Amino acid sequence: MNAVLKDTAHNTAPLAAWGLTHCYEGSNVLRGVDLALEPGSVLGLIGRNGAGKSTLIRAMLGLLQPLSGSAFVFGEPALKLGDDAKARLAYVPQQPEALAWLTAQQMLDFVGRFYPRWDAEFARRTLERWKLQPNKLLAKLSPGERQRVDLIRALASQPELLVLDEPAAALDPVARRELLREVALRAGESGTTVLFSTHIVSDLERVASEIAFLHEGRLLLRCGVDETKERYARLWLPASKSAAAPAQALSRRRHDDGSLSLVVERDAQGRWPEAAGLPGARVDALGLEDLFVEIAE
Amino acid sequence: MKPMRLLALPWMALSRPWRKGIGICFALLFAALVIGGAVGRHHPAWTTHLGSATAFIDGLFWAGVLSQSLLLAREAHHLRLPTLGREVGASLALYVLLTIALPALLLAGLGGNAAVALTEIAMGAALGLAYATLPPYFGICACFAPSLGNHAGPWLPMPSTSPDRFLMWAVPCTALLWLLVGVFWRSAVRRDSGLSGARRPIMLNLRTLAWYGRNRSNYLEVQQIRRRWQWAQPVADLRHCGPDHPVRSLRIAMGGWSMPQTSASRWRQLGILLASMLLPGFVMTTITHGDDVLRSIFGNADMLLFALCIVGAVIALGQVQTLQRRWSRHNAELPLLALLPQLGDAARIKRELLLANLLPAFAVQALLMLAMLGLAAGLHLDGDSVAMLLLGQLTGMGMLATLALVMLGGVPVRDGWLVVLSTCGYLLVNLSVVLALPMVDDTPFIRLPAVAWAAAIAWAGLSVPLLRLGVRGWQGLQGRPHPFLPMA
Repeated sequence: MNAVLKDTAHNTAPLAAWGLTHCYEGSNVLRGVDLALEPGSVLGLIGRNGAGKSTLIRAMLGLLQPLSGSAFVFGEPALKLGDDAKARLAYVPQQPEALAWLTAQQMLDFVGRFYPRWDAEFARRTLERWKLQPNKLLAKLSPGERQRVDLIRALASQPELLVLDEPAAALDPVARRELLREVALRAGESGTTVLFSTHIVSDLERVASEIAFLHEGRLLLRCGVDETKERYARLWLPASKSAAAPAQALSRRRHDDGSLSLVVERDAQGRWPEAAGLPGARVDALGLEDLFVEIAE
Repeated sequence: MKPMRLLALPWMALSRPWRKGIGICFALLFAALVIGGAVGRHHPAWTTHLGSATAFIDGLFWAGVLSQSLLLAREAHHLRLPTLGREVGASLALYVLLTIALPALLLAGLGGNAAVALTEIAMGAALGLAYATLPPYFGICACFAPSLGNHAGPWLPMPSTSPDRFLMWAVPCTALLWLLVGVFWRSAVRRDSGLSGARRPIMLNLRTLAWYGRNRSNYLEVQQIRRRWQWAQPVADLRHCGPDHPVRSLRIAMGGWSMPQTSASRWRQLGILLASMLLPGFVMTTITHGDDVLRSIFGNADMLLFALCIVGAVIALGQVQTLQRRWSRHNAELPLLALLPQLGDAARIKRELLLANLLPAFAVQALLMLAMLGLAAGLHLDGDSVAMLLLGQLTGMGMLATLALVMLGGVPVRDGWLVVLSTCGYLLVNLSVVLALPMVDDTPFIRLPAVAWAAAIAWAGLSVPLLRLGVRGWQGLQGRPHPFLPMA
């Protein structure tokens, strides 16, 4: 059954990964990650620094060979992508540094020749709108400017799948907002599927339809952004009731007074764990940022 | 302030392995100085030679070890640690006594001229410190100082020829140098953040490079582009690029000297290269040969053979370094090229990538080989010597092909092993010219049976690991799903 689901998912999903495992210098970065994106969805991949977000993205796009597991882009194995799949995909790495010896205009002109649906007019207009000097060498641009040029490169190819690794990390608030607007527009109007990693929770709330939370190489939760408040909460149990804490929890923290805080999830029937009904127990709603902090801490 | 702490202070800015390595080197140099002094004590001018040797070693010591105090002084100033700042000053004063005043006194005790010895050693120390702590354009000049005796001897008084007249120019020059070092030291300690790359002392630049670890080569490349004047920047020629011209497009994406450039840009780069290569030779030849400069540079076929040989080896190593830079970054050309459509299937991309990276270098090396053959014909070299020259250039090409395959095939090789292999290859390529030229009694070294055997063993010693690595690289490249996966 699971195999059938996988087959269906990797044939239809623009981007899918199964059992991805990878390690650097002996330490595990990815521990069997399964993730598939629905067409037209905007998935925000969230996690702390070093959680494995960039590695997961690179493994999903075939930019590194994972130790085990497989990844598919538009149904094709990520490590052996054909021209058609590549033309429908755009990726912006964290702190892009490619082709530093070309000017912004030369880089866009060069790359644009390989994409059949390249929108040169969009590239020209956006360079102008974002006040980027087209004749300046990429090496001489600031990290934020360089990231914006690379975003233009990605967007001008009119991709069906847009993958952004911490796209807002080097951007100022104005540029960040413009980028998010552009991403939302692409997803809303053209049905572009978007995967972006970030640790800025407000960015997720602004554009993502779904979030996936990666922690220490594992995908801890995945759900719609609007669902998180309904589905997850912090359960506080006094010391006397802590023995009755549910075994299943996304995080578990014991306080100095012996009381226990857990992040819990509603079950399939929409009920909180039984311990939530114990005398003295308290269930607190969590915002996205609180949920992130509770799990990541 | 404890004297032992003051003595240890400059060494504290060095990492443990560097401390050990540098310590051993200076211990060996000091031993060589003492043994050399003892052996040559019957020579009439032995104290003068001993003074010059001490000045040279002092220069190295102040450049390599005591300049580290600049880092400590900077940290002390930035972290508001006045005691440490004072200790750095006291430590330097102690080292002045131990490495300048004490040797001068010893030399005077052995019968040398105290003033000359003191000036010469102080000048050596100042030049060493100047190299490390002055902006690079001043610092580099300090490197030419040791050869002053050889090249400027005929018109500049030296300790061995005219000690009194030597003092007349050396004392004010040494004082000025120490003053200059003091001014720049103060500036580097107090306003490091305001110092741009061209004005930052080599010592601070090296520290920054150390932070980048294995990525220092990438950092240097970007810094080089940033600092270069606009007119000196290579301009890419994007004509005939795109899906129909994958090799040319890949050359654009790889950058470096082999990137297709506009004609004007290519001529400009060639001019800059020739000027930067010929200028030092021109200056040195002007000093030594006066009015016979051009004939001295271009009329010396032996030296031209050497130069061509070195250029060939440098091109090979430069191209390998470019590949190493590209394949070590996760967020640059690799993801862009891996996802660029219309470059063809994996097998085709691998083939074209090899062509894009090897063809330009091979073409230049072939031209150099032709030029060498022309010079060999002009020098009437025999078959053995010509074969030696060809072997040298072919070794350069083989090294390039092997190391390129290692990078593209993702073969995990230790950096140290690659450096050893490249250095041995570089030395053997240069050795080929030495062996090919008739240097003793109009007979090339390669005609001597013992030398021929030694050369054969050396080449076999290089060829075997090169071949093994090449095969592993080729197999690795064939086994990769696509060639744009970063190095392990």
